[in-house]
Amino acid sequence: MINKGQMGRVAVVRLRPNQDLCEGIVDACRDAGFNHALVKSAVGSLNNATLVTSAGEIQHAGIGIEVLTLNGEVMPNSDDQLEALLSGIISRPDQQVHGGIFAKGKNIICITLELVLQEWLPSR
Amino acid sequence: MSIVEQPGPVQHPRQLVAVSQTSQDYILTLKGEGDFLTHLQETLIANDIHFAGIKILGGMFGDLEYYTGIPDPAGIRIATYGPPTPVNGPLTCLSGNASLGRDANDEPIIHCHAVVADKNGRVIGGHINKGGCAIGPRGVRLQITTHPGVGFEVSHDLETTFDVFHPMVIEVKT
Repeated sequence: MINKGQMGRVAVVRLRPNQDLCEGIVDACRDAGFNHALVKSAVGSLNNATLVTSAGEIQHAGIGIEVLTLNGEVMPNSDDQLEALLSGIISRPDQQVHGGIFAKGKNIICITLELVLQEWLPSR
Repeated sequence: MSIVEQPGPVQHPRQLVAVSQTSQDYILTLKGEGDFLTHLQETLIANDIHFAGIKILGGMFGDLEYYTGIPDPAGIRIATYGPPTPVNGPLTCLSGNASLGRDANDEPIIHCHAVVADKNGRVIGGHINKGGCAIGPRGVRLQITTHPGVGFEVSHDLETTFDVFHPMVIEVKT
């Protein structure tokens, strides 16, 4: 299925510590008035990340896990509730690099997440 | 949940948001010798871009020093950066992000995390400082997203005790 639309407003966001990555980005979209948004850039850190792969959830222990990349979007789900679908790459304190989908409620901001979101405006 | 108590008082609101009504994207190729972040910052400022979200699309780095986070051994803050890890280039840029903003002295500053592959395909990555990453043989290609009227400015965060980027409405200087 292909959806036509255009890019709209841009929000710059900081998530403070101890927020969940996915839930915090959803809250930021609500604050910005975005009903659908794409991640344009993100730089930050987590405590004890959990990434989902085809094998299921994989926990990564560590304080100060670096978020190296963050890709994805925030959009309404089947219940018309905003939901974040985010994947990316992390670097652990032991310098191992891992990737996957960020599990909701299980990726807690360590110091900060600086985020640029751009609104997606579907054509009607 | 992995709630970790920060050294300072909890600040509110828990997410800070500033919205720009307009945006402009650019594609930039950095080539030549020299430091990646220095060249990137200078190029953007020279093109009157002072605040932007940046995505690394591809290209190559030369020699690199990167940092990963560790618990603060002094116990003052939750985390800090460990010692730099040097890696010899050339390195293939896989991805990465950066935020261009300004510091407390109104000077430009970039915060960058990147992921690269070495010649054996080993994936490595972390935080990069200005002066710690050379532009590689084929240059570096980036997507730049500007957000006029808003941007990141460094200010002291009472909660973490770090000086970090905060979203701000940017006054247009005449």
